[in-house]
Amino acid sequence: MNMTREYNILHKGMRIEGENRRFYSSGQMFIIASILIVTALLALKNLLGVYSTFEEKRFEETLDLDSQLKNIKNEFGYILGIAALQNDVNGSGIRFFYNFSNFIANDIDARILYVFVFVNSSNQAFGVTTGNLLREAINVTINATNSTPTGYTFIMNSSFNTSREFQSSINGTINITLTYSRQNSNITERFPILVSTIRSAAIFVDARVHGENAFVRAKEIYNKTW
Amino acid sequence: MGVSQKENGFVEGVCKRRFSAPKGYIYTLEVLIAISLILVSVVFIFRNPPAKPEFGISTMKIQGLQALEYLDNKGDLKNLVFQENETELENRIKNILPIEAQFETEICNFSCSAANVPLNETVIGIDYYASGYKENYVGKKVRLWIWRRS
Repeated sequence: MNMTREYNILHKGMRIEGENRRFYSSGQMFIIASILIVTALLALKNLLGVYSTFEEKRFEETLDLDSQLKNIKNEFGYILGIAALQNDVNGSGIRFFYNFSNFIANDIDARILYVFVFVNSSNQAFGVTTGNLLREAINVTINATNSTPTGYTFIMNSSFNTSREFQSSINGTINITLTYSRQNSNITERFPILVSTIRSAAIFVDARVHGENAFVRAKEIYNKTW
Repeated sequence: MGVSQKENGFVEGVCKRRFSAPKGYIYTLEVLIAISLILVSVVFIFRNPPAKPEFGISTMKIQGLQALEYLDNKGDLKNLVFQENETELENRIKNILPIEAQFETEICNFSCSAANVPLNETVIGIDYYASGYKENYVGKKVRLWIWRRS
């Protein structure tokens, strides 16, 4: 009997103590939960608000880069005009476009690819000069419709330009097709030039300006006939 | 059988007296500690307000860039770059930019001298390229440093 009573007393005591343990556990759970929340907040501290700031920075950067690209693009058109005023249009164009592209590519993080075409009015011959400032070597194929030869294929290292001569068989519009491989992808650009009894020149430019978090790219063709 | 009323009551009474205080007191205290811990850490983490967007700087940058674009579209910039006339270029820019903007210009290729640019101010650098003027190839840029008058 005594043993049973003792057992029951002990049993009750244990039960009550157990309940109080649960009470302790409830309070401690709040502290544990708060520690976890605090840890999570501290871990996420650097992430909170970073995205919006990053987006805002990228937006501003894109605006700046876009203005810079617009400026560069416009200058290519202006250089075509400068070259057209020279006695040796083809030679001057080749030199000016290369110097300017090289200047830009060395000054800022820019990648430029251009094709300058000058049509000599006297003999239907035209020269195509490709400038590579993409900071990597490219495989280039240049084709021209109604011309001899129909095309050229060559490898271009970065910061170089290459000129090729074509002879047109017609007076009229000739389509120039530039195909180049870059980063395992083939890119094709096509633009027309006019072969006639008057001089004409064209410049195709594909320029990219990189910033810290963004880049902008533009392609433009300028034509001049005189 | 089992436990007598007296024994039973005695045990429960003791236990109630022993554990009634922790039940309300410590439990509340622990919750308060938990809340305070979260509050203190939230205050600590968010004590600095989110970085204020630098609208002033970007506005100045846009103004500087537009001033150069305006001069270029007007036909003045390329001429002044060709002549390397920085003084006249600065006079033209002065008429365009707001009065609180201080600036310095340099016509250069790669290395532009920042001789008159203050070191203790937030200065924005803007580059504007000029390939040439009329039949002359130049291949230079205008570097415009702009900062707010303190």
